[in-house]
Amino acid sequence: MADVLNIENLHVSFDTYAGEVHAVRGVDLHIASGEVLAVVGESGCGKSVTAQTIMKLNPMPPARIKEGSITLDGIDIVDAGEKQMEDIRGRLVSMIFQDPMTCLNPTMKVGKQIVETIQNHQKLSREEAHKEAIRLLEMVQIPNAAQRAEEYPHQFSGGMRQRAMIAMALSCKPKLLIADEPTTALDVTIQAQIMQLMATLRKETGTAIILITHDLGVVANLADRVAVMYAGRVMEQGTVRDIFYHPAHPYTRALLRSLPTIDTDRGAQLVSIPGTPPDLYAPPEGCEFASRCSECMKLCRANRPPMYTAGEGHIASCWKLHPDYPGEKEGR
Amino acid sequence: MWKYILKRIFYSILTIFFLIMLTFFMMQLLPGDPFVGDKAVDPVVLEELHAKYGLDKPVPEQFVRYVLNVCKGDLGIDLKTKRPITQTIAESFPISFELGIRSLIFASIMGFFLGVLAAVKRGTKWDTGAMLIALIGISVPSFIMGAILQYFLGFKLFQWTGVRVFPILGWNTEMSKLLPAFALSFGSMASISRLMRTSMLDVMSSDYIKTAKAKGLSRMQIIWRHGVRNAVLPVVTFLGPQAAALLTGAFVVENIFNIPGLGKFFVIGVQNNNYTMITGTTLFYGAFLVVANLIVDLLYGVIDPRVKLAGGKE
Repeated sequence: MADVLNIENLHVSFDTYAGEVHAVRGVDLHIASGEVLAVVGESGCGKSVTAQTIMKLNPMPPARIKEGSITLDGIDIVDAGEKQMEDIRGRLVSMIFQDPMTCLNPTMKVGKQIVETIQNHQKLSREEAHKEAIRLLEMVQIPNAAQRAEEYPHQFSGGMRQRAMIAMALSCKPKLLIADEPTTALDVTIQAQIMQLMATLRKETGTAIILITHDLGVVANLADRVAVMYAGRVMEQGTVRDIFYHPAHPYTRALLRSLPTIDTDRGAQLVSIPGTPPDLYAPPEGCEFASRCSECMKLCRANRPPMYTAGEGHIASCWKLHPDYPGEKEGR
Repeated sequence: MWKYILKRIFYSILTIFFLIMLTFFMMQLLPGDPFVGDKAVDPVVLEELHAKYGLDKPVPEQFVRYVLNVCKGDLGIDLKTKRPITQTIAESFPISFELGIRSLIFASIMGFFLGVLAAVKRGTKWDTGAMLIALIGISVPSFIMGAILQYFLGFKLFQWTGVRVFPILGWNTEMSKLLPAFALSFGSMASISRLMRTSMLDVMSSDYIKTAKAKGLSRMQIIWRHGVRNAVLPVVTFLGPQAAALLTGAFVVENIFNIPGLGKFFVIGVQNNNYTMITGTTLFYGAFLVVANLIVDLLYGVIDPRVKLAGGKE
């Protein structure tokens, strides 16, 4: 199947007064149509910047695409002008954000906000668009959709707002939906409902999804493949099964170790990864994770490892996967 | 809703009562006498005059009588011209009102557009230019602005062109109303534009603007439909007191341009100890301000659906 999205060697930097922040440094991502790719990583690893760059939502300047290519449904995004982006946004690709409380316009009726999106991309009369908006609200399981469409966001609960956001995002049947931590700001019970909803809608609409999250539980539920990002680079990429059962990169393993399980003793300290991510004003020469890695070697500090294949469709950037590495290969 | 309005009206009346009390007693501290002017007055005549207007009574009694009269809608008699104060107000306030409305419209429209322009073109020459105008507007008082306008647009322009475009004084032709309205509005326009700019910048960096952008709306749609609508809310709150200030606060400008508005009578009243005129106009201005603020508060609930006034649903 043709890829909906192709990101190759993407470098994004922010020019600030203190210097250049190398936020994204050589990211490769590919998403087939209908696929769900989870991008995980801790705060500041560049996952949101990557996502927003796909839609060119980052204000430029200060953001700047230094290098690389983004191809969305055959369209070159890097060279696309603002007019072309306006056409692409909301139609080919749309996005839902982390905090549904602040993402809807507080002075515009929810229905109207969806109608606006529809009318922006489709030639529909006001009544048709309104009907469509109500149908969408019903699709995301909002009760009394017709009545709710006439209400303002402050009359919606957090979960309902996120549903409305999803309805809005899917209103023009985009090829790709980017969900930037869609459940982080919600209650745990609501989180489950929203994830369930996204799983159902994905089946119905066949939309590919990029799911950005730091919640590995969410990943296991919904994703087909996972990309683990750290300090602006993809460290490991593979199927959910690969990542959870055969992690090939020490960072992925450390992440998984830090997940509390149901058997974790109440009194026991939660496992954390010592140290802090590297300074992205001056990224390290070698492997970004070297300073925090329990399996670090001399080589790692001076040289950045390339991507090695750890299995079919499973790649990781670690010297230990080098064919000449004498020790036992992790992950297999 | 009604409970809220009634409560507000009660507080308004209370405010006005204290206002009367303060002006009344402070006025008694003023040196001089309304009937002592340039020429000497016979002490016997003076005493008679005092008795006639009740000024010989103890101050507390005068106060009670005044308050009772006010309740009946009687603001007293002008001690100089012997005309009822209410009549003077009725004749001169419409002029002040018109001047105020003209300034308010000008200040709001110009302030609004300057603010939006500065915010949208943030960091460019447009922004600097708009904020420079605002800085001048805030720092130059209206009477200096008035004098400058009179000199350049009234006097110099006439000298250069030989055509009297803007009359220097008066309040009769359309053209004569432009300069005073502009002079009066300049300060408000400056404040409004700065407030609008700040508010607009704030809104444009909010999450729902990003959502609007992600929907594929054009920049103009985002700015006008999602940005301005939300950014204008704090400006509306500010507009209430500002409107009241413009409608009532033109004393100096009215004097400079020789406009027969209420402000002029107020200033003259203070100058010659015209007690009833001072309390009457102060009371009128005060009541006007209080009512204007109340109206703005109620309007706010209409513009911003999140605001449900206390006592309403939810």
